[in-house]
Amino acid sequence: MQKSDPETLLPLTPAVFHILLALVGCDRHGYGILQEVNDSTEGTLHLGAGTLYRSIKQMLAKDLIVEWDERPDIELDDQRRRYYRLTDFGERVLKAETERLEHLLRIARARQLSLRSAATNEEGSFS
Amino acid sequence: MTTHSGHILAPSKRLYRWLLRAYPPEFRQQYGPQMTQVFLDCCRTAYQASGTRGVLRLWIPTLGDLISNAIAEHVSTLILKLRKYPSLLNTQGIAVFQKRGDSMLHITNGDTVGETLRQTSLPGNILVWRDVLHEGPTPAHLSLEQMSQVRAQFLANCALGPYETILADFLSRDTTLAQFLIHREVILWFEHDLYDQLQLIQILDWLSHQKLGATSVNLICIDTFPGIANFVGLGQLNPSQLRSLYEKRRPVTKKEIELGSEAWQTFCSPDPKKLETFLHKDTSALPFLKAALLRHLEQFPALQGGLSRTERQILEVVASGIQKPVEIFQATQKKEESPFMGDASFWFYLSRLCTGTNPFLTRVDGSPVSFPTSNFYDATFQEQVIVLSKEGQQARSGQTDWIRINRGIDRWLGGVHLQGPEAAWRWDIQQATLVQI
Repeated sequence: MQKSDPETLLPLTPAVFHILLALVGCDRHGYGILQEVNDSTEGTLHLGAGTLYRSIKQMLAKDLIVEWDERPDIELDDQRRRYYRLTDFGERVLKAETERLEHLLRIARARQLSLRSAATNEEGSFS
Repeated sequence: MTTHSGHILAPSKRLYRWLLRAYPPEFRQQYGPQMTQVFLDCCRTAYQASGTRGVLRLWIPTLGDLISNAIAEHVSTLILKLRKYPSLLNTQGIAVFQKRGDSMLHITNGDTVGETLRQTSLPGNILVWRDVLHEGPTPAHLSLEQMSQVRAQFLANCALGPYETILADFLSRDTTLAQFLIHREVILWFEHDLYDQLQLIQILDWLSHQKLGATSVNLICIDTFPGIANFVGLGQLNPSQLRSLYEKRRPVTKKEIELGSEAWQTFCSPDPKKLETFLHKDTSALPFLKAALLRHLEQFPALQGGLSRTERQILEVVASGIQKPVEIFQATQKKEESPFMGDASFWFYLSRLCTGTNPFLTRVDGSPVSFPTSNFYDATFQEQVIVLSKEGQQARSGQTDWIRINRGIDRWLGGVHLQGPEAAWRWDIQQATLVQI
């Protein structure tokens, strides 16, 4: 049998989407994820610890991420921290969500363009 | 910073830890220390940026985050618990039907038989085992609860439902089983095929670790029924026919429990050769077990072509000109001595042959084959015409190997995980034996 279709998990909540993004190519602990989300969204998305760990719980259950034992630098790091890593399935879900958002964006842009051109025509008729 | 910040960080930490009591205990136990750590990290950053005022400002969104997530987590936990106790929540998908009296516990294979049992005059509770153990992982040395978690994850990954719902169903099932001693009698209702025999040996293995006390455990296990020419399973019987079997029940013997337990542990072993060896033993105490487990071994990828018996049968059926999905399923079932696979499992086999780098099956017009996402089969799905691809035709004449041309395998068969560019074990069709590669 196969993994569930990523499409069935869409749409993702903003928190889950940004946590997945934060884990692309880099294992992070909880606070590291918060910092990355804060930086990448230029401070527009503030995740609290409650939202972060409820999301992590759900993402672990859905096999989007796994807890990872290895630490980037044992010397510098706190042993108590738990690190999280994106799974292959998590990456597929992230891609699917990105494609969904791109599709929405295309629709929105097309609509804006048509509105703009309609407005231009109306303006034209007055001139 | 530590000296000066201590006056605000220490009480903040204490208060935050106290407020975590708002979360359900399981969640608090699992994530409480990490949440506190993250909150403290945020406090330090806020203090560095804006001093005490920064920490105080941080408390405003923190309280909102804490309250809203604590409520949400309580709701999730409550839903899970309600699903665990079916008498509190009557929803579809609950494994146990409450029925008049609790003097008997009827354990059976699926919902159809469970529903028919409910229509009989037999009193007691009905427990539907409901697990396709011939698909997916059943690793060795797991408790029933651990196994349920593994199975729920596998079935959720197959998109057969949300993990939490499936797990709640299994936990409800396991809780009912664990309380079997409150019943005067337990009756195991099973048939002869692989699906049922695996459920039976899993239950017998569990019973082998229990003290049966005053509860009598009885077995009804058949492969024929008078008047039914092509008996496939208990689901074919009406309430009156099913009721008549009750009189023919017989106590489960110690020998059956021991044999069932050994069979289950062997099935869950990562070494499939143990299962093959087991089949050379005397298994007559459970007369249908040998044929069923042999059928399981035939699901290993063949030495000749890399396909399971189900997949080989699919190719044969399609090559014979049967090309619509439901008809392919029906024709494939007819090739089985004892059909065991439901349609939901079957679509996974069919879809596997339609996907991969070099699919063996394709739609006649070359477009991708679609598969149902629910029990409802619409015309688009049913009317698809599926044919052999070029590779599929080569496979039929033994010129190509599925695993080799589709970049390996990742499949569990009981306790055996076949993974990598080559399957570690294959089934030699000609010699009817497993071969280690």
